[in-house]
Amino acid sequence: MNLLDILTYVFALTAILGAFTVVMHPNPLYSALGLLLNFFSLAVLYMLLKSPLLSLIQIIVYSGGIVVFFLFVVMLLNLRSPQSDRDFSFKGIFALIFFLLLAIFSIFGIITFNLQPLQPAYMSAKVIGKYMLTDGLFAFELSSFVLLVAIIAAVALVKKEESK
Amino acid sequence: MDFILFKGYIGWFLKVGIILFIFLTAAAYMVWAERRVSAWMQDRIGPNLVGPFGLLQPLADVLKLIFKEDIVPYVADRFLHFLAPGLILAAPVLAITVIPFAPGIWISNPDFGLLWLLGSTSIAAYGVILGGIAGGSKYPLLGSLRSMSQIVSYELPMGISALGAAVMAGSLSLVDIVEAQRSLWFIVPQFLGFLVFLITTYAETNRLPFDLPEAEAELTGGYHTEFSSLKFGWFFAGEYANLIIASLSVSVLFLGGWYGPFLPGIHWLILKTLFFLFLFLWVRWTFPRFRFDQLMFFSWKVLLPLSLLNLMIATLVKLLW
Repeated sequence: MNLLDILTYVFALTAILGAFTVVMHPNPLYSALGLLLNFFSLAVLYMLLKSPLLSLIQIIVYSGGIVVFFLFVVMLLNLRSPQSDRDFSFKGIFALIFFLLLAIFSIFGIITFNLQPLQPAYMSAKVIGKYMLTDGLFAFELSSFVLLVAIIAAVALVKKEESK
Repeated sequence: MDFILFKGYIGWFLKVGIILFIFLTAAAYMVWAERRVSAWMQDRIGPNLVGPFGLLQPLADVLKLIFKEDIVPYVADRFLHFLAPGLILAAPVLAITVIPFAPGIWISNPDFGLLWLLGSTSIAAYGVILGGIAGGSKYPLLGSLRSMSQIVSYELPMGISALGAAVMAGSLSLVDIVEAQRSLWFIVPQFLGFLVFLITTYAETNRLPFDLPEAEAELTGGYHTEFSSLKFGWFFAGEYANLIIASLSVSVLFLGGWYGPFLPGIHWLILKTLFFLFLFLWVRWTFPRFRFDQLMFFSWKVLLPLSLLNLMIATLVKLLW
């Protein structure tokens, strides 16, 4: 086992730790920070899989933008006192069932399919850029259209509140 | 650096160690420079007693900070109070690893250097944000709320204006960007991008006229109010290290890095960086502070359209020549 393998396992573990923190921690501030830990670990894993562009976009967009907004909302809502939701609820049971199904399917998949380890291929900005403007053009334009719709929807929602 | 000294693993650690040592010492001396320059502008003398011209003042400051008591407020979040000062210094240390100083003198030259630079500035925001939350009092919280909206707003025009330089060079590697400026610095075809990038670096480093997260007069120091001893020292060092990174990146992206007439290599980069560092101090002691709504208006309705326009100009120039 070389250094890169060890790093992969360490950051896979911190990714899972971050994900658990998001779900389990009673303080929403720490949940947001757990999400941050998760995003960072995923970014490191992408880097180890030789996809630096994806990794850095993960850091710039998710860690630098989205988690900041989560923290912003957490602070504005003043959720500083721990608000735990530990009562019996159907939500929890549904989540448990889905989790068990997911676990069964993944274990089944790992056992039955002859899985090969991922062969990392270096994904530079040039390769991804070329793909987005040739073969992946339709998906690229479609996602830009969806984002445009989301922006217009956000502006429309804000306008509606102002006119009241 | 092709010396025999810098071969192998030990040589690599030596090289990284030397660059980091120079960088952090320079950050400490920026505090001295700030005090001397502000004193000069206000017709005072400034720190001049410790060593010649007060040059040992940073050392004395660090010693003083080490021996001060580390006070953690009763209501503070202890984990975040411990974490935040580290984060604010982590970002510039990450960023310095991709800056090219002179031909062959850099820690690494990845082909995504520009993105790495932008990504590390987005980490710097967390030191400010978590520092404000950790204190557990109102002023730092207000400071960190302000810094969140400010940093998120100004990161966008910053990234897009930096992309102008990347488009002109046809590469995201900082070494390639510098080498593309051999005959013509990007400040000429990319003047708009240069202006937008320079302005946004002031906002990203929380300097006047964008220092609303600190705002001594209204927030008693903002996000680092509740920190003392070396933790405060880390915030201080982090702020000046970020200034150096900002000056270095402006010089590398738009002013041709190490290229210039007469003098060889690294001298030009140092001169350009010193000029921008002086500009940071000059602006701080000359301009008043923005109001918060003006700050947001300026980012979203002035800088963002300008940076997009600049990106279009860059693409057109690249296509036509």
